[in-house]
Amino acid sequence: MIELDLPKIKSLLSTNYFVLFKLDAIFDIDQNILYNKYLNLQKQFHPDNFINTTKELKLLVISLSAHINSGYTTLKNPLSRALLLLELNGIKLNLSRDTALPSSFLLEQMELHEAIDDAKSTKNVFLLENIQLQLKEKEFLLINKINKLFNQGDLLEIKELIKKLTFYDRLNDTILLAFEHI
Amino acid sequence: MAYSQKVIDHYEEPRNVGALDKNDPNVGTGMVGAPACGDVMKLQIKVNEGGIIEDAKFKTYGCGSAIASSSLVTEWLKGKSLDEAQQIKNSQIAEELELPPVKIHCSVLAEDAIKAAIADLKHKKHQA
Repeated sequence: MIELDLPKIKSLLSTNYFVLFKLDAIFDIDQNILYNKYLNLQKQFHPDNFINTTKELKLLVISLSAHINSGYTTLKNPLSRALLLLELNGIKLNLSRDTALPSSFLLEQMELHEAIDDAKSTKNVFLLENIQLQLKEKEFLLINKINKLFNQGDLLEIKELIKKLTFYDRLNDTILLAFEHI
Repeated sequence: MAYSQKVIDHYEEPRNVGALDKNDPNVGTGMVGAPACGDVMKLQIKVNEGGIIEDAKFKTYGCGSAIASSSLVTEWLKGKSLDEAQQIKNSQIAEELELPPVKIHCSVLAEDAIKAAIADLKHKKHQA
């Protein structure tokens, strides 16, 4: 049984995810360390450990458990991790009116979507896996560039790259959905 | 979030899906993307000798609202002059499709696609 008071849990609920996971607020984080910290936090604050407490504390622990989950999801994904880091540095991206992108990039996006469509309609798992691999490579290169810019502290330059990462993120989801349909 | 009947209508039966010959001097191609969600949209217009848009096609990879927005504007574009087409505002698209605030960026995408297609066409004509 862990001794925990209300103010402590409340303060944990409002800490940012890097602090919650006791990680340095940097982009280049070790996924294994992140995962282990996640398991430990979930174990420590598992609602089962708080059976003999007040109703108020029980409810807070459930919220904390959800906070830990969303923290893990946010830190694990490079896009949401980058956005969080920028936000902590006072940079809020407003991307909704930002529709002009290099035409070569948009063309590549169209072609990737079309290829996924083809693979889906012909039920070609091999082709779909191939596209997924291509995408992983592109994403890997992009993430490396973003990491470099974070290390250099070039936060404004990162914006253009993050825009591209959103599109790759979306393609990843589309591919996963396509696999389900094959 | 519920889609309006008009969005569902365009989503289920999109108008003017397809492509025009991008090398045709009378065809303008606009390609835009929404970094907020990863949607991509291609819109093409073809003008006749009088400068009136006689055909419009689109291809959109995105949510229902993005598909409906592009489908709707291809209908609106036909028969319009380039100047008239330039006047189409995202607020009109959002109003017609009854888009909720979180989907306004889909109508922005369609407006920007029109402007990009017109710019491409003007660029071609200027070079010719």
